[in-house]
Amino acid sequence: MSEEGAPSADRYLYGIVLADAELPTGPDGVQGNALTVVGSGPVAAVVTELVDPDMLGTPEALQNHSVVLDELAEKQPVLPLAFGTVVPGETDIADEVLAPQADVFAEALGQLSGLSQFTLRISFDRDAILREIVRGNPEVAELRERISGTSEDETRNERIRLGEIVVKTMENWRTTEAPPILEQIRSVAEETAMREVGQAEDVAEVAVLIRKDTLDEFDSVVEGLAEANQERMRFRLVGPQAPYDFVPEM
Amino acid sequence: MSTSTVERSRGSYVDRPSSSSLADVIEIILDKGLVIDAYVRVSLVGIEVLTIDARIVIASVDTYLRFAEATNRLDLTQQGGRDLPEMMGGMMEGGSKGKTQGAVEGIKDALTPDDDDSDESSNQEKTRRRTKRPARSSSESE
Repeated sequence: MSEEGAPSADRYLYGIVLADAELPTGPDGVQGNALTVVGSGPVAAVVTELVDPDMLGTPEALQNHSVVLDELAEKQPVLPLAFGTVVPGETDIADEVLAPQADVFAEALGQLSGLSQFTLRISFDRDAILREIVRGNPEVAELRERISGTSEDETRNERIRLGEIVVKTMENWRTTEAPPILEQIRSVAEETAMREVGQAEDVAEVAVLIRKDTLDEFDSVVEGLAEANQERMRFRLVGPQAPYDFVPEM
Repeated sequence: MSTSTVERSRGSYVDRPSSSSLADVIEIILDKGLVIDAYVRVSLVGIEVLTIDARIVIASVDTYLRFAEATNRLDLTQQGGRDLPEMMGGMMEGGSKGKTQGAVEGIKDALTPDDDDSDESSNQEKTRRRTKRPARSSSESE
């Protein structure tokens, strides 16, 4: 399984698949180069030869990386590798990268079979939630009156106080409102992985692993939650994706 | 360049982007995936800046001022929601001074490892894995 006469170009690795995997025809790899497969026993690596190994960490390359993996994942299980995995030209991918852990990779791929990842981000609708806070909290309403028609410099302290109350209120509401929503999501998911929320108006962000044969059920639960909360929350669902959040530890 | 998405009937209450935006991709995958340690070799070009903008620490004066201004501009007579989350756009509003400082503290898990693998010292180039984690909000339990 060695790569006799292999070119000496460095290779970019996207992920690991089973040996009989079907390559997507659509997407270009990083730097616009073609995808190829290097196999070793039951598993194979999906790779691209790198023209310019120094130009890797670009937004385009990150997009390429995810598109290739997501499209691979539509057809078969895939273990996504970390963005920026590059094997030097002189390294034999089959013998040195795949073979030592081929059985572990194959088992992990078996466990991911039939599963898709989605990422669900739920946020408060900013204006709706601000109206709710202004109407429900006299101090906020008063501070809002005081900053009206003033510049940021003129009422900086009032603004900071107002913003702080608003942000803390959303934080409190998130604490009580996210759990029942997530409970329903978990009921239709094989596995879930919480992410830290990144913005003040976020309610929750969660990666979910869904059995492909229960996609409809998952979908109707998400749809039902979004409808029930439509006055105050926005639901954003990205996927299906490669199982970025569910690669087993090895 | 698009990530295919399952087509849905109209009338959905869920925003389903037909392709992953760069913001999505950064959020979702930048620090994910199986690490074959000897081979991870990334010097990010043009991504760190975007990520910094995307992750402003929640409990910061800049965030408070931004929400104060949003409250100030609020039309109380109006009902219903606005447009869907504008992840990057929203961050651009409001005070830009001192923003970078808050932002650097705010970089979260996009830049920090989920896997708490012990050996992080081997690779000089994995600087993104060393960025400190911001204070967690109290609601985070997992």
